[in-house]
Amino acid sequence: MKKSNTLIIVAGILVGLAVGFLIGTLVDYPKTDEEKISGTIRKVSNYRNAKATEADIRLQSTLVSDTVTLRMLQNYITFHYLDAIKMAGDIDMATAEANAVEDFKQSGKSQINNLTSYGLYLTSSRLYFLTALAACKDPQNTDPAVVRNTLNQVNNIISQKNYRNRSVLAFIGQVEAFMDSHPSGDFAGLKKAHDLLALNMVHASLVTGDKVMQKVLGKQALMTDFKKLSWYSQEQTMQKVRQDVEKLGTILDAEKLGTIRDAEKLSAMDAEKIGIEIPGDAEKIGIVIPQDAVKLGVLDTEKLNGCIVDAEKMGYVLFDSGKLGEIVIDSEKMGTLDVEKMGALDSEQFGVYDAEKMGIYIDVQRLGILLDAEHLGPIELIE
Amino acid sequence: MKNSPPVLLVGLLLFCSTTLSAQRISHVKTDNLDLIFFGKRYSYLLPHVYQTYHNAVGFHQRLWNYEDYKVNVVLNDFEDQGHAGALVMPFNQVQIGIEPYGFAFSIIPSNERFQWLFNHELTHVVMADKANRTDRFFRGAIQGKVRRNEEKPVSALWSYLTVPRWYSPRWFHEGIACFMETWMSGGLGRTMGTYDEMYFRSIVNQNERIYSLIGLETEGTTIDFQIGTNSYLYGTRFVTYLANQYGVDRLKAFYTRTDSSKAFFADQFRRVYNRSIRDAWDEWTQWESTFQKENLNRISEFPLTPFRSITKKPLGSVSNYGYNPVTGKMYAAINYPGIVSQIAEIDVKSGKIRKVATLDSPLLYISTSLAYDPDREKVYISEHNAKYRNLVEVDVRTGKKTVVNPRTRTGDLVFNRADQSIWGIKNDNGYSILVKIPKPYTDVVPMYTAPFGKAIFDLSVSNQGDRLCASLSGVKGEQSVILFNIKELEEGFSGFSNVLTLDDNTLTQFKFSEDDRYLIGTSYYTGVSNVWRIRLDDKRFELISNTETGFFMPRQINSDSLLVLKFYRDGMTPGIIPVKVLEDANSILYLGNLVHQKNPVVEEWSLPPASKGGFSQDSMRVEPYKPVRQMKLANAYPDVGGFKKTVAAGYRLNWRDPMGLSDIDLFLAASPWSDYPNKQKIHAQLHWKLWNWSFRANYNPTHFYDLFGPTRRSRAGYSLGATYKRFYSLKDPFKFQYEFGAYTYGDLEVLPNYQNVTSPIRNMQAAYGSLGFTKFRKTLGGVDDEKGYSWNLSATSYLAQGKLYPSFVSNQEIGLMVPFVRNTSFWLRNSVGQSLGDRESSLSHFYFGGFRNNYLDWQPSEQYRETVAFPGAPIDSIPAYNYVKTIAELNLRPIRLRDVGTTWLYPTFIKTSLFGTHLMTNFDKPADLSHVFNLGAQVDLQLVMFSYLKTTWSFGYARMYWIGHDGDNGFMVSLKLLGD
Repeated sequence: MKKSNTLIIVAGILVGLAVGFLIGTLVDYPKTDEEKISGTIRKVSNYRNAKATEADIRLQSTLVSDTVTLRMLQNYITFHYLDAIKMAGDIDMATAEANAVEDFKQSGKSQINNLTSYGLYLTSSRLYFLTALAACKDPQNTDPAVVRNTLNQVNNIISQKNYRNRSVLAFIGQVEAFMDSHPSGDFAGLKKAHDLLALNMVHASLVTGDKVMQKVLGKQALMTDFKKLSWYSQEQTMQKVRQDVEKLGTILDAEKLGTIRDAEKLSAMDAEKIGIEIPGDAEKIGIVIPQDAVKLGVLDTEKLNGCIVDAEKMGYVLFDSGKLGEIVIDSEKMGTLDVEKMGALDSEQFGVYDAEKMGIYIDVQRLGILLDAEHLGPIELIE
Repeated sequence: MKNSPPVLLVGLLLFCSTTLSAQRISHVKTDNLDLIFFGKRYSYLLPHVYQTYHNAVGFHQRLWNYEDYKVNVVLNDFEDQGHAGALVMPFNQVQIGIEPYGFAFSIIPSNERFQWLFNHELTHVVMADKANRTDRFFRGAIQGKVRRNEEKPVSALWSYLTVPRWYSPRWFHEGIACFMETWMSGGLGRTMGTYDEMYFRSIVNQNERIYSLIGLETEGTTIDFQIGTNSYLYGTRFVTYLANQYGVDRLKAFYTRTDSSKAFFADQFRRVYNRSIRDAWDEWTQWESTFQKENLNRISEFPLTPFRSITKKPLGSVSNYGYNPVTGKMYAAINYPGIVSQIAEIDVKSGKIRKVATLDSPLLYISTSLAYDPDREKVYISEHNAKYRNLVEVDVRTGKKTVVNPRTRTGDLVFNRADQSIWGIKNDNGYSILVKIPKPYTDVVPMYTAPFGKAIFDLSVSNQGDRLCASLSGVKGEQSVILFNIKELEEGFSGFSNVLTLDDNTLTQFKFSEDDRYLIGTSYYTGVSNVWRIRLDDKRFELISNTETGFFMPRQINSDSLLVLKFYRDGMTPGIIPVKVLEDANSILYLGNLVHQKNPVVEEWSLPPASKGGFSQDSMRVEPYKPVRQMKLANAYPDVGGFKKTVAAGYRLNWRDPMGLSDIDLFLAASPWSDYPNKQKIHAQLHWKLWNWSFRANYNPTHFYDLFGPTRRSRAGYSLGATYKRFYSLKDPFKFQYEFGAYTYGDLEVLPNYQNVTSPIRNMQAAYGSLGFTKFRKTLGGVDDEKGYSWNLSATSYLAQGKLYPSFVSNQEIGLMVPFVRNTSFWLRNSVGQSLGDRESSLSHFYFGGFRNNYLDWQPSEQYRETVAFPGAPIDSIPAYNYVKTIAELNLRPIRLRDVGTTWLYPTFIKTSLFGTHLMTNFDKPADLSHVFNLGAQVDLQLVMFSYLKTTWSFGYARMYWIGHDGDNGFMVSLKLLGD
C-alpha cells in the first residue's frame, strides 16, 4: 500500500511539475485548427503586427546584488521545505493512527480527510521549494523572470501552508475532544500523533514569529512524554531530501536552469529529450540543502524543548505561552527571517503598499491629470 | 525661548514625516527619464519599464520631431486594475498602475501592457507638451509651465499660454492617443477596437443618433451610461475617420504643434482641413452610418439568431450574473442613468426587476464582480472597485449586505457549489493570481500565479465543482481558454491545461454547459461578439449565434436555451437565444483596417521589441526619492490679488518636486497706490505643502477673489501656522478625514473668519482640530450628490490676552433621492455650535449671514450650504453664542442642454435648488433666544469655455424672517471660474 502510494506520489510530482511549473511559462499552446470550424464562417481580417514576445520582457532580481537577502531567502525557503517534509511525514503517521481507531475514524472523518489532503498537498508541492532554491542558487545567471515565477509559486505554497495548518489544529482539537469523551482508553498512537503535530505547529510558529499562532498554541497541552517522542529525525529528513532531489533531478538541471535566459526554453527541460544526466545528489543540481538542519538552526529541538513546561502536578506538559512569545529560534543562523528585507517574497506579509498613507499623492483630481483609467475600463463611475 | 518646545515639536514631526516618506519612495534617473516607485516591491519591473519607455519615447521623438523633453514616470500599485495617466504641467509626468487590466467585453487588448500604456500616455505628453516658438517664449519668460489653479485664476492665462493644446476637449486627446497606441502596438488598440465597432454599429442598427461635436460634451460624457469613455469612443473614431478619408499626414499636421500652427484645436483643424470641425464631424457621422449599414447587411446575409429580450430596456453596465434554475431569477449588478448602482433580481419570465441592495463604487462596463450561491441564495460581490477590493455577501431575500472580507484585491468572482468556496483573480504587485476564498471567506489563498505579462480572467467553475475554466491573455495579444483541475490544485499541482488559443482574436466569458461537456463563451472571431462553444472532448469550436450587435456572457439555462446579454447603445439587455450550431456567418469590416490598407505607413509604426533597445544595469542606479531635495523652480509669473478694497500686484513663484509632494508657493506683491497705512502696502504669502503638512506664513495676505467681493478673505496683519490633514478614501465612497492645526495672528483688524467683525485684540493664537466622514452618491446624469450622509466635528480655540475662547461645531447632513423623479434629491443639513468662552467677547461668537459667494468665485457655487451662510441676511449680521441651524433643500432635476453653442463656448446644464433654513441662536438663554428663517432659491448654469474651462453662473435670491426683527432679503450673482 505504502509502495503504491509512493508511486502515485512520484508520478503525481512528475506530472505536477511538468504541468505546473513549466506549462506556466509555455507559449506554444495548441492553436485553433481552422478545420475544426464548420461551414463558411468567415474570420474577421484585421491587421496584426505585434512584435514583442515574452522573451522580450526584461525583469530584474534584487537578489543578484543583495546577497544578505538572498541568503535569508534561501534559509526561509529551506525552512519551509524541511517543515513540509516533517509535517507531511507526521501527517502520514497521524492519519494512519486515526484510521486505526474505528470510533475516531467515524467521529473525526472530516478532520482526517482534510489532514490527508493537506499531507498530499505538502508532499506534492514541496518540490517547488527545491525548484526555487535551484533558481536562487545563481541569480546572476538565471533569468529573473524564472526566479520570480518560482518564488511566486513558493509564495503561494507558503500561503496555502499557513491556511491549511488549520486542518492540523482541527485534527488536534478533534483528538483532544475524543480523549475527553474516552477517558479510559489508551490510544497511544493518537496521542503521539497529537503531540507530534502540535510540536510541529509550535516550532513553525516560533521560527516564523507567528504571534497569533503562538497565542493559540500557548494553551496547547501535550499528551505524552516529550523526551520520548523523538520529534525530529535528522536521518529521516535527509532521506526524504535525497528522494526529492532525485525526483527533481529528472526534470530540472539546475546548471541548465542557471544559464537559461529564455523562459520558453524551460519547457524543453525534459531530461530524456536533452539527455541530462540525472544527478544523484543535491549539490549536483545546485540546491543548498543543509546537511545538518540543526546547525542551520531551522530545526532546533533544544529551543523547542525550552518552551515546554513539565506540569507534573497537572498530569501533562504544556507549552509556556510566555516563552513562546520570547523565543526566536537562532535568528542569526536564519538570517533573522526578515521577510520584509527579502523583498521578493510574500506580498501578504509585506502588505500592500500603504496607499492611504500616500493618499495625498494619489489625489489625481488635485493633480488634474488625464487619468486613463477610463480607457482601461475599471473607472469608477460617479458616486 | 518660550516658543521653543512647540517649534521643536513641529520640527521633530516634520523630520519624522519626511524621513519616513523618503524611505518609502525610490527613483532612478537617466537622461530624460526619472522613474519613481514605491518601496521595493516593484523594483523587479525597472528594466522592463525603462526599455518600454525608451522604445515609445524614441518613436514619438522621431515621428513628431519632439526633442526637448523629460518625463517623470511614477509606478504605483494603489488600485486593483491597470490604469495610467499623463500630466504635462508643471512637469511631464506619466503614472502607471502596474496591475493587469480588466478585460471586460474585450475593450482593452490583451497584449503586453507597459509598452501599450507608454505608447498611449506618451502621445498625450507629446501632443500637449510639444511647443512652438510662441509657447517656448512664454515658457522661457515664466521659467516653466503653469498648472491651472482655481484659487489663483491668473494661472489659467499663463497655463494656456505655455501649454495651449492641453486645453482641448478630451476626445481630441484620447482620439490621437488611441490612434497611436494601436499602430505602435501592431494593430492592438482602440482604432481596431472590437467594442468600438460594436458601439457605432448598434447606434446605426437602432436608428439612433451619433452625438454631435457639442452633444458629446454636453450629453455623451455626462448622462450616457458610458460617460467619459465616450471621449475615447468618439475621439478615436473621428480621428480614425480623418486618417481614412484624408490620410495620416494631414492628421499629423492637425495634431503637431509647429510655429505656423494654431493654438486652439478648432482653429488648427480649419487650417489643416479647410473646413470647420463641426462640418467634418457631421460628415463623419453620415459616413459612419453608411459604413455600419454595410456591415449590418453583411451580417444579415445569413439568418440572425432570434433574441427574446427579458427586460423592456437596456440595463446599462451589467455584471457577470447568477441564475437560479428553481426560481427562474437572475442576479446581476446593474448601473444606468437615473438609478443608484445596485444588485438586481431579474425575473427571467416576466422581466420584472427588484432592487436587492445598493452597490457602492461601481465599475464602468461590468459594474462589479459577482458570484452567486443558488443554494443559500447569497450574492457575493466586490466593492471599493477602484481601490483595493473587498468581498461583500448580499442576502438575496433581505438585501442585507455583510462585508465578509475587508480587503481581498480580488475580482472575477465565481462560486463553487461543491464546497461553497469562492474563486477569483487577485491582482497584486503586477501579477494575476488565481485565488480560492474558502468559506467563511476570511482567507484569500493563492493557488496559481500567472507568469509576468499574462493575465487570467473570466472564470467559471464546472457544475461538478471539479474544474475551473478561465481566459488567459498573452504578450502578443493572443487569448486562450484554459482548464484548471481543482482537485490537483488542492493537491499541490499548480498547473493548467490549454483548451484553445486564438492568436489574433478573443476568447472570453466561457462557462460550462449544463452537462459540463462544453464550454460556452464569446469571441469576436467574425468581428462581432458572438456565442461560441468548445466541445471538451475534441476541442471543436462551434458557432452558436449570429447577431447584428453583440452577445455576451452566455449561460445555459436548459438544454435548448442560453441566457445572454445583448449590447445596445444604452447598455446590456438580458435575453434568451436558442442553442443551435450555425454553419455560416459573415465577417465584418473594421474602420481601422481600412486605414491600414490606405496608409501602409502605419506598419512602420509598429514598435520593435523593447528588449532590442539595449539596457545597462549600470544606468539603473536606484536612489531614495526625497521630495524636498528634488524640488526646483516650476514657474514664476506675474499675478494680482485683492487686499481689502484695493488691488495688489506682484510675482508668484512655485517650487516643487516632480511628484508634487513638496510644493512651495510664494507670492510677493505691493499695493503702493492704496490708501492704507504703509505697512499694509507690502504683501507676502508663503505656502509650503509637504506630504500631509501645510505651512503658511502671511503678511497682509491678499486674495484674488476679493477683487470681486462681497466676501473677503484678505486680512491686514500677519499670521504663521501649520496644519496636518489626513484623508482616507480606500473605502470610497466612504471617506474619512481629520485635520488639526495651529496659527498665530498679529496686527489684526478683523477676525480671521469674519470679515465684518472688528477684532477686539490685535494678536492671538488659534488652534483647531476636526474629524469627519462622508458617504455621498450620485447617479449617472446627476450633477450633484443625490443621496448620502456626512458628519463633521470641529473644535476651535482662540488664545487672546491669556484667555481661551473654545468652541465646537458639529455638522451633519443626510440626503435622499426623490422617488420617481430622476436626479432629484432632498437634503437635510443640520449644524450645531457651542462656544465656551467669555460671552461678551466677539471671539466667542459665530456670525451668520449671506450667500457667501463672491461675484467672481472659485469655490462650489452652493456656498449657501456653508455653516455660517444665511442667505437673505447681510454677511456676519446674526451673532450667536450657540446655535442650531437646519436647512431643508430640494435639488431639482438638472436640465441638460443638447447641442447648444460653439466649440469654444457651450452650456451643459441648468440646475435649480430650493431651500429653507431655520436658525435658532442662543438657545441656552431664553432672554436672548432668537429664531431666524429664510426661504430661497438658486439657479446654476454651467458654461464651458475652450473645452476645459468650466464656469458656473449662479443666481440666487432669499428672503429672511427674523422674529422680533425686520425681515430682509438678498440677491446673489456669482460666476464660478475654472471648475471641474
